[in-house]
Amino acid sequence: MADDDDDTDLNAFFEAELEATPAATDAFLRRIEADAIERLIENAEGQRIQTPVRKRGWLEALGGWPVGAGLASVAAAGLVIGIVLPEEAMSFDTFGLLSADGDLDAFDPGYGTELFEES
Amino acid sequence: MTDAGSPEAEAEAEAEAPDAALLVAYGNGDRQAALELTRRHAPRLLGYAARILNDRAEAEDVAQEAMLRLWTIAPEWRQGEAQVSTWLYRVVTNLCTDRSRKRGREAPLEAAGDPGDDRPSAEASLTQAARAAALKAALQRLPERQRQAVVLRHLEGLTNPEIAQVMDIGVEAVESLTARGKRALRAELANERDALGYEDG
Repeated sequence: MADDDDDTDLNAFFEAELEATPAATDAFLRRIEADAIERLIENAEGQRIQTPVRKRGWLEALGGWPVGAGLASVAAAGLVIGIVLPEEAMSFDTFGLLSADGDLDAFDPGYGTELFEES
Repeated sequence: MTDAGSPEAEAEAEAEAPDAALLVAYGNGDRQAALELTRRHAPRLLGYAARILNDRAEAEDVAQEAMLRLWTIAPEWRQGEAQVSTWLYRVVTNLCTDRSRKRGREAPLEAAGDPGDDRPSAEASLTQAARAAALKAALQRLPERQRQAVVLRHLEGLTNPEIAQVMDIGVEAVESLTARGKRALRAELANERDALGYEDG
């Protein structure tokens, strides 16, 4: 009996089996190639379907939904101010700083110096 | 020798492109890469599956399914993680195991019945076909894991580390499976060797 590492006795059988290896038919190979092409087409269609989803990326570009929510809140607040206080909102001098009745002395660089001149 | 840049040189370079590079090319839409991968691997997978399942039609189904899984995974294939051939052998091995289990085909050597039932007759035994048939019959009587290891090692030409990857076991386990498998084959083929005029080596 041959030992386990010596395959001499089995080699003739292995060689005969290798010669008897079934050949792949053209039909078999064509089926596999058709699968490959079909899968390529499916992958390409899958990429096209995903394209519109990528257009939603503008929100991510701005910083995501928290930033979007903040922007919406600010826009809403601006709208409310515009509706509720239209005159004040549209007036350049909203707080009367530049009106004739306003006290502009505080902006005069010489304000208060007359006290020193009298003394 | 061919000139660099000539059609012959380009054809040679293409023929020698590594499997992983072809798979990446296929993932990028190259149909020719798919044809080349099919030509390289499908016939070997078919032969391997046929030896494990002993059924040509089922072997074709298994080989086709393995290649389909390769096409599917192509876009995510990471070069360097595994050899394409080893990955394919592993898929075929698993698919064959699944089919054998479903059909209850796995028959341990001691439960295989009379080994001489479907042996070729002594009159026809001096042909290569008879030797191949004798081995095929003996292989089918091996436990499935031994059969896989022996076929991968001695008919598919894989190294023990490659077989370990395919079968998801250690190299020592591969050595043990192939040793036990060959011992069982010798016992199975002892009478055949006498009839065919072989002597123990």
